[in-house]
Amino acid sequence: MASPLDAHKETYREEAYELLSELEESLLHLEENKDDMETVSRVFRALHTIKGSGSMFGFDNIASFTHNIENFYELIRNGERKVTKELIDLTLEARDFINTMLDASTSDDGFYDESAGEEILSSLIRLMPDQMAPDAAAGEGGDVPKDGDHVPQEVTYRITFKPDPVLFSRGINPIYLFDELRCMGRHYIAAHVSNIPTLDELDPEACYTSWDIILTTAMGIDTIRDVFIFVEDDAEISIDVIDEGGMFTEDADYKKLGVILIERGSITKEELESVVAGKKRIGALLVDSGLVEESTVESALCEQKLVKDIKKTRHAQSVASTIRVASEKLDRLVNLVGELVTVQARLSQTSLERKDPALTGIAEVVERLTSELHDNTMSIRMVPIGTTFTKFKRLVRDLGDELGRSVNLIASGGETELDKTVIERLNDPLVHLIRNSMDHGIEPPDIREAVGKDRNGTINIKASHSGADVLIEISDDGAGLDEQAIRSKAIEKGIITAETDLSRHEMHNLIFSAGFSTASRVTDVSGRGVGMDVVTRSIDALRGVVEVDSRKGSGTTIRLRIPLTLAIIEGLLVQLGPNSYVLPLSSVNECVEITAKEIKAAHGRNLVNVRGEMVPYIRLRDRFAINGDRPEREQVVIAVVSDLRVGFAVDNVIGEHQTVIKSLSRVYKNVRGISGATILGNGSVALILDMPRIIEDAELDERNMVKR
Amino acid sequence: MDISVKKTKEGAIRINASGSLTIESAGELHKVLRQELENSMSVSLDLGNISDVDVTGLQLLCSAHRTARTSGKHMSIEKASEGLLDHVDRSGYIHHRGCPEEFEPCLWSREGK
Amino acid sequence: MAMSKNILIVDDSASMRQLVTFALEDAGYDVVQAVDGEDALSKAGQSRAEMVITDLNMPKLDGIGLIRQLRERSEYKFTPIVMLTTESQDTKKKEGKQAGASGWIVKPFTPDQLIGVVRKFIK
Repeated sequence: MASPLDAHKETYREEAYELLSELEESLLHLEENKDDMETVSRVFRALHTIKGSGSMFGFDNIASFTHNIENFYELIRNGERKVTKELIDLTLEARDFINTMLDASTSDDGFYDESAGEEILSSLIRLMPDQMAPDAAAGEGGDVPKDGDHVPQEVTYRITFKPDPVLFSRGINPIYLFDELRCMGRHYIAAHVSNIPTLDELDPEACYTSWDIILTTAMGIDTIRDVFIFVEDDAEISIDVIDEGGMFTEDADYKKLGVILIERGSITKEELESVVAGKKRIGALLVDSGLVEESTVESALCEQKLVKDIKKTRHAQSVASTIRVASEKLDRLVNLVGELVTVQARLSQTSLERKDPALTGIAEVVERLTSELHDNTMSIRMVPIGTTFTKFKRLVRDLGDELGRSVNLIASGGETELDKTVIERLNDPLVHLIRNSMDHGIEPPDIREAVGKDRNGTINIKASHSGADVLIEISDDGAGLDEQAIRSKAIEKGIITAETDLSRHEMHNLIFSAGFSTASRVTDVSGRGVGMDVVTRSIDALRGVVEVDSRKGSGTTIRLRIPLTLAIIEGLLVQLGPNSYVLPLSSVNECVEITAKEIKAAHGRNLVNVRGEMVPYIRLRDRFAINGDRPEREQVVIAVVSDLRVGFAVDNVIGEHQTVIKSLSRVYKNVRGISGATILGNGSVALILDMPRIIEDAELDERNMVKR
Repeated sequence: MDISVKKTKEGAIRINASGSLTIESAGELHKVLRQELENSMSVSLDLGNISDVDVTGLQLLCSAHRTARTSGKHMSIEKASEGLLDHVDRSGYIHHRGCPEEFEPCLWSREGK
Repeated sequence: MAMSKNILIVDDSASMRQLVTFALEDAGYDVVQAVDGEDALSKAGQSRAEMVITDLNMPKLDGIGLIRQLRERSEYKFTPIVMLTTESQDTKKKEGKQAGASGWIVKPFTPDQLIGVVRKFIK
C-alpha cells in the first residue's frame, strides 16, 4: 500500500511535469516578447510552485536548484534585470535539468548527472556577474522556529501582553494564544480591564484589554515567543524570567513588591523611596499616593504569591526526593499496619454485634482510615523494577563474553512498581532464568547463522501490571525446548514413567521439577547442579506462578506472575467444620451452591454444573480430612488457577476478609496446600490456602488412583 | 446573533441575546445596550444561549456595567452560558485587574454563581 | 459547537492543495479548495469560511490581492487569513500583513506545523 506521502509525491510529479511544459511555452513566448512582464510573472510563478511544493514533498534537490533560478527571475520581475536570449537559453536548459531530476526520482537508482545543474548555475552567475551567489539550499528556512536553548528546569516567566486596539480586526483571538501557553505549564492569566471605556466611547471592535501572564514551564523563551509570532507587530510584548529553577535560593522572600513594580517599570525607584518612608503596606501606599493603579499592584502581588508558591512546591519536592529510610523501619511500619488491620477487623465485627450506632460510626471511620493507611504504607514500599533490569544488561554482556554468545537484552516496563521485598526476592530467580536462556536457549552465533537467524540473540524482559499481579516475561529467540529430550530426561530421572501421557504445556513445566536439567554438559553458568526448580521455589514463596511456553527452533518464553505485595491480601473467608480458611480473592471467580441431590446425580464425580459448564471441584473437607458430616447444602467457590476453572467445596462462605499474612513456623514448613495463616476479627486463626498446590496434589492423587 | 428586548411591569429591561457574541456581532449588542441603558434604570441580560464569545464580547459587557454604574443605574447578567463562563476563565477576565472601586461589586466577581 | 469548521485553501498547486486538505481533514476540519484568487473569491461567497489559507503567487488574482478584497467584505472582515510563503518572501510577508493577513506559514512545513498555526486562530 502506498503511504499518503507517496500519493502526494505522485501528484507533485504530475503537476511539476505540467508546470515544466507550461514553463517551456512561456519561455519561448518570452523570447519573442522580451518586455512582456505578464509572461515573466508566469515564468516566475511556475518556478516558484515547483520549488515550494518540491520542498514540501521531499524533492529537496529540485527545490534548491529551482530556488536559484527563481532568484534570477525575481530580479527581472522587479525590473532590475532584462531578459536576454542567453538567459532564455540557460533557463530552458535549467527546465530540462529539472525534468531530468523528476525522471530520476522514479527511476530505480535515482541517478542523474548533478554537474549539469552546477554548470547551468555558474553560467547564469556569469551572465549576471554582480548578482549574489546561489543560496546554499532552499530548504533551510530562516524562519523555522528554533529552540536551541533547552531549559531542562522549570522557569517562571512574566509575560506582559499589551495589544494595539486593532488586534482583533486582523482575525486574531488572543484566547487561542493563551490556550497554547496553558498547555506549556502552570499559568496565571490576568486581564487588565481598566482601559475599557463606557458604552459611549466604546468601539466594540477595538481591543482595550491587556494581560499579565505568569507561566512556569520547562519550555524555552523562544517557544513562548513563538506563541506571539503573529501579533508581535500589533502589541507590546515582554517576556521576562522572574524565577529560574534552582538558581533562586539566596533571598527567601522573593522580591519585595516594590522591586517587582520597579522592574516592571510601573514606578521609579525615587517614587518608591518617597512612599516607603511612610512605612505602611507598600501596595496600599502606592495606590493611595496615586503613583500606580491598584490593578498594577494587584498583579504584582499575584506574581509575588505565585513565585512563593512555586518555591514552596519546589522546596517540598526537594525534601521529598532526599528522604532515605532504613528498610527495617518500613518493614516495621508494614507489620504495625498489619496488626492494625487485624484489630480494625475485630472492631468492625464487635460493632456489628453490639448494634450500637455510635460504635458503628467510629468503626467505619477507623476502617476507612486503616484502608488509606494500608494503601499508603504499601505505596511507600513500591519500587520500580527498572534498576533490577539495568543490572541484567551488564549480566548479559558479561555472560555473553564468557559463553561466546552475543545477546541483546531488551528491557521494557521498567517503571512497573513492586513491593521492595518482592523485587529483592525476584532477583535470584530472574538471574537464573536469564542465565538459563543464554546457556540453553540462545544458540552459538555460528549455529544461529546456519539456521537463518541473526547471529546476535535477543532476550526480552518485560514487566507489566495485570490486575493485582505483576507479570514478568522473559523471552528469548533461541532454540526452544526440546520436548523429546525433556521427556527422556524426565523418565530417566524417574519424574514420569514411559507411559505418562503429557500435554505440551505439562511437558514444558517438567523443567521446573526438582533435580531436572537437560543440559548434557555442565557449564559454569547454569547447570550447577541446581535446576529450574530453584526458580519455582522462589516464585512459590512469593505466591507467584511460573509458566513456560516454547516452540522448538524459535524460542522460549517464561512468564512469572507475582502479586504486588506480600504482606496483606484480599481474601475470601470460608468455613469447614469448626475451622476457618482463607482463599486469595484475586483468583476467586464466583460461588455456587451444590445440594446432596445434585451430588448424587453426578454419580460420585466431583463436577458441578455452572450455567451449563461442568466444572471439577475439590472437596476441601476430604483433602483436610475433617471429621463430621458435611452439610446438606455445600458452597463451591469457583476459582481460576493457571487458566483452569476449578471449584473448592466448603461448608459455608463467610465473606471478604482483609488478610494480614503471618508465616507459619518452621514446623509446618512442609505442609502442602497451606501458604500461611491470618488472625481473624474474633482472635481465632484461619489458614490461608495455596490453591495451585491443592489442585496439583488432587491431580496427582487422581492419576495414582487411575493407575491402581 | 438574536437579540430580543422585553420590558417588565416595573419598567426594567430584560435583554435576551443568543448565538455568537463575537467581534462580528458585538456592534449589534453595543447599540441595543447603549440605547436601553439610556432609557431605563435597570437592564438585565439573559446570556444563557450564547454559543461563542470572544474578548470583544467581554469588553462590551464590562463597558455596559461601567456605563450603568457611572449613571447610577443597574446592569446585571442573569444567566450565562457555559461557553461564556468558560471564556471568562480562559481570557483571564476571571482574574481581572483594574476594575475601579466605584464599579464594585464587579460584573465578573459575581460570575461564579 | 459540534459542527466542524470550514477552511478555504487557495493555491494554484494541486499537490499543495492536496497536502493541506489532507492534513486539515485529518485534524477534523472541512476544507474547500480554490485554485487562484478569483476562484477563492467566488468560493468564499458561496459559503462562509471560518479561516482562509492562501498561497501568495497565483495567476489571475494573487494572494495579497485576495486578502485585500476579502477584508473589504463584511463577512470576512475579522476572519483569520493565513498566507503560505517561502522563506525568500520576507517583503511579501510584510505586504500581506498590511493587506490584513493574520499570520503565515513558511514552506516547507509539516502537517503538524500547519495544524499548530491553524489552532492559533480557530478551535
